Amino acid sequence: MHDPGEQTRVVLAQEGNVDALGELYDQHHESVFRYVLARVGDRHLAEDLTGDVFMKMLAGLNGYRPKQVPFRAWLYRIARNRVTDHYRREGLRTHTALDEADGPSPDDDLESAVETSLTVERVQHAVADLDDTQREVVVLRFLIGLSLREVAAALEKSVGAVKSLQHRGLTALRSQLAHERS
Amino acid sequence: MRDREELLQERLEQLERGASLEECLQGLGEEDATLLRTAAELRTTRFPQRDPQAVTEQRAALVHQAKEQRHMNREPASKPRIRPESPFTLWGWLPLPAAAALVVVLLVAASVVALVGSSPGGSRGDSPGTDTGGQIAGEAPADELEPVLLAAPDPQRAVLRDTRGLVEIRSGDGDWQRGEAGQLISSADAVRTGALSAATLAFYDGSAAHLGPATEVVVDDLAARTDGGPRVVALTQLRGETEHDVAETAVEGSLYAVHTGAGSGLAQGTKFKVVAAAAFTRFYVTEGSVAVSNLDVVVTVVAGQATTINLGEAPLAPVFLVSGDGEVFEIGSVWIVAGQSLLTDSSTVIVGSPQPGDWVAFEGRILIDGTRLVDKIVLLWRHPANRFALTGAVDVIGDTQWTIAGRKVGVDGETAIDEGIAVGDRVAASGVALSDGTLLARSIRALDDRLHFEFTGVVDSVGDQWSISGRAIAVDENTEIEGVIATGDLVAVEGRILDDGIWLAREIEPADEDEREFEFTGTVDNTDPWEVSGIALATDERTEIEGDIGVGDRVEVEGEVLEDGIWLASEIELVDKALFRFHLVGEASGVEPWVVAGVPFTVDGDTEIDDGIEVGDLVKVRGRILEDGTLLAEKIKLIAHLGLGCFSYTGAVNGFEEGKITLHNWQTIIFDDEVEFEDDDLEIGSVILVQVCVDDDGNVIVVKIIIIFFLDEVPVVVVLVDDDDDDDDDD
Repeated sequence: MHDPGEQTRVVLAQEGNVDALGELYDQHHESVFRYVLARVGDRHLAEDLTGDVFMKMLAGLNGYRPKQVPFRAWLYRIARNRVTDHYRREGLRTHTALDEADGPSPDDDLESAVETSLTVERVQHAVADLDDTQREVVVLRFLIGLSLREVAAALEKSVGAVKSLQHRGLTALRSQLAHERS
Repeated sequence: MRDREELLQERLEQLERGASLEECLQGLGEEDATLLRTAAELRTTRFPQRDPQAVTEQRAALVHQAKEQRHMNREPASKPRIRPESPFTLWGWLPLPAAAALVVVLLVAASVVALVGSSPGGSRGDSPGTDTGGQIAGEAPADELEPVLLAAPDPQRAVLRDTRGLVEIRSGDGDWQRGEAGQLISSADAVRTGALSAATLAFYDGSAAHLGPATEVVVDDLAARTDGGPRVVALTQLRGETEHDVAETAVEGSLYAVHTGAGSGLAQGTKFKVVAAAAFTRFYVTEGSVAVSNLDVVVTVVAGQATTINLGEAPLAPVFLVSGDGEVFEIGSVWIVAGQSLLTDSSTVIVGSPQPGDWVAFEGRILIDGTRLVDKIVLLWRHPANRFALTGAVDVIGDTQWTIAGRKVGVDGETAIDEGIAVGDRVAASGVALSDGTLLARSIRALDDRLHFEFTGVVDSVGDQWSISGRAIAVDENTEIEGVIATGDLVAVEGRILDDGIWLAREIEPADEDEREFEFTGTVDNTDPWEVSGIALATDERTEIEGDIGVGDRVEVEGEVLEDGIWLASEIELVDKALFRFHLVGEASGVEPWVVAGVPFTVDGDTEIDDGIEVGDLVKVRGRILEDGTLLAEKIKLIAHLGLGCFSYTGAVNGFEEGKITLHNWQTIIFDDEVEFEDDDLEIGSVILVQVCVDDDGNVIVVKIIIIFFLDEVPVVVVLVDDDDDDDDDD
């Protein structure tokens, strides 16, 4: 998913080019919003936190070093910290105000439950019970589409560790989705 | 298991390359196939569309903020300034590695000042502590803002720069007004700084006068010309400490003069420092020469020398200098620092109440009999007493003992405890680990949703909104303010950083000059140079930076506010999000089993342990508190030995041969090829600066020799009997 133009935009934005900054926003705001929404479950809150993430990105842009961490990984570190901040302030681990989405029929077996197109509400509920790191890996890797290396950089873990976490995370998530179904 | 993880990743990559799910599923067992299907399904999760209005507004706000920031970046920021390239001010006040590190930090900070400017959202004349939270609504468009001046616009005016803390200006006979970076200063204007404050007067010809804390200067005459006419800068220093960096000029009639109550100094193309006290003035020269006069007596003070003018007397004969830093072994009338004996007298300034084991910087003079008379001793680093910190839930609250995370923690009358803590609350406790392993808390803070801060600063303004060392501090009906506090007072402030970034004081009380520690938890704005929650931080080689910290991370910062207002961090560490953590610093009294600071703990296969730790070493331990209260270390770090210290001294060369130099006072310096030294220009009469370090075994090692001046003749040392032994006996 490496975008050669992204590095140029980042450098230009660091130099104060607001057009490049705007393009970075255009490029990433949807996926940051998705990440935040998957973590907090509340659409309005996710909108607000997404805005915060980009303001923090701007504040830290001059300190960002492309050689140390891929831009997307750095951006999701900020997003992750912002969500963590939110939970710390709220004293909550997960948002509980979600409306329950329609789930698959109780007669469905495990596979068909998974194969049913998922809604973010269901995913958010399901990942909420994973442990912190597994949840981060699952969300970043499969909902946002970061590469293994980018996830490792975002979470400051080794690629091997992330590989292991994605396997365990998917296993736990599959059980969780099946449990929700039943 | 590893094979299955690899296999899953392999198939995921195949899927990412565009292969169909069916293709990717081929050959997989049922369980792995289900995982791959789950992953594929997750990627098709239906997300709601974003609110277009929110997107538009956010993008516009982001771009607006960037424009604002770009504009503000043109302003001079009050980052730590570059001190003049004075061997004494640099090497004298920091250990050699520390000096190098801090110089780098300061250079970086200054580069940022020059190239980028102030921190995002900073307002005009921001000091490092000024709130940098930018507001969008209601602010003037960036293009309408006037850039702050960096340089004087004409020879008749100087520009005020690099302000930190409380800086005030008085025009003529007017009242003192708050001074801000970018303001212009003319003849008859006066500038003064408060405690923990500093400022620079930058003149049109490139000369600069740096005002330290508690300093007052009046501009008597100002025509810093560069058009071929004589450059004239004349200042009167009423009190405090100034450093001058004087631009060279060959124009006849030029002068750069600093007058004090006790005498005057005239300089050209020179770097020098002036300390004006009630009973004397002292001139220290680090580059070139300064003619110091009083009562029609003029002495020439060259680089590496100092002179003193006692009130109502002629200047004393110049003497050479000594400065450095190191571990304190003895205190009293004679101090032993870095293995060197240093004599003190009634004029010696001692900052921070250093004790044996602490690390100090010192600055002084070498009298003609070889005595090292120290003018100033400043605490740099308190020897880390055995201390602990732990976080966890409160199990038991007692009058003399609490139980936190299963560990018993003593409390006494000196323990600061947040109000309202109940059993079950999450707290952070820190204090000292006594020799028997007992933990005695010095503070127990509730871990709520706000961030704690405490620091010592100078009051810039009071009112509904206070400003302390440039940091906007809010007060409310719950804020306890001890006594009557006025602008210029030194205060200790403690409180919480609220969700919206406001620093709300819980307590403001008068502070002692020696109490300059700070501690706060904030969000990293920048790491190069360091800035956390709008506070610019200097670091040196002793700064412990724990964890791979990036912008946006939450960190705890501890350190000390230096005399001139720089916030020097001693520790920056990621906030542990998990509960039930501990942290110990102390001497290792056992390594298997482990005991540090008297506290036993366990290790396991995952514990990272620095190599070579032995009983008696100073170490830092971090880890988890297990359910049964046992401490399990995750990391044991050896706190590096820095030797006993380093110092520098000056002297005039009286003779030399390969590997050996004899000074004017017959001191001999033996050195080898390892020493950094350009000896091609060495001659009799050269004034040299010798840098030496003392290793852990007390061995003195010459590190560097620098030629800093050439004298026409070597001073003759004649030891005189001095009847007046109560003050300066330089002559």
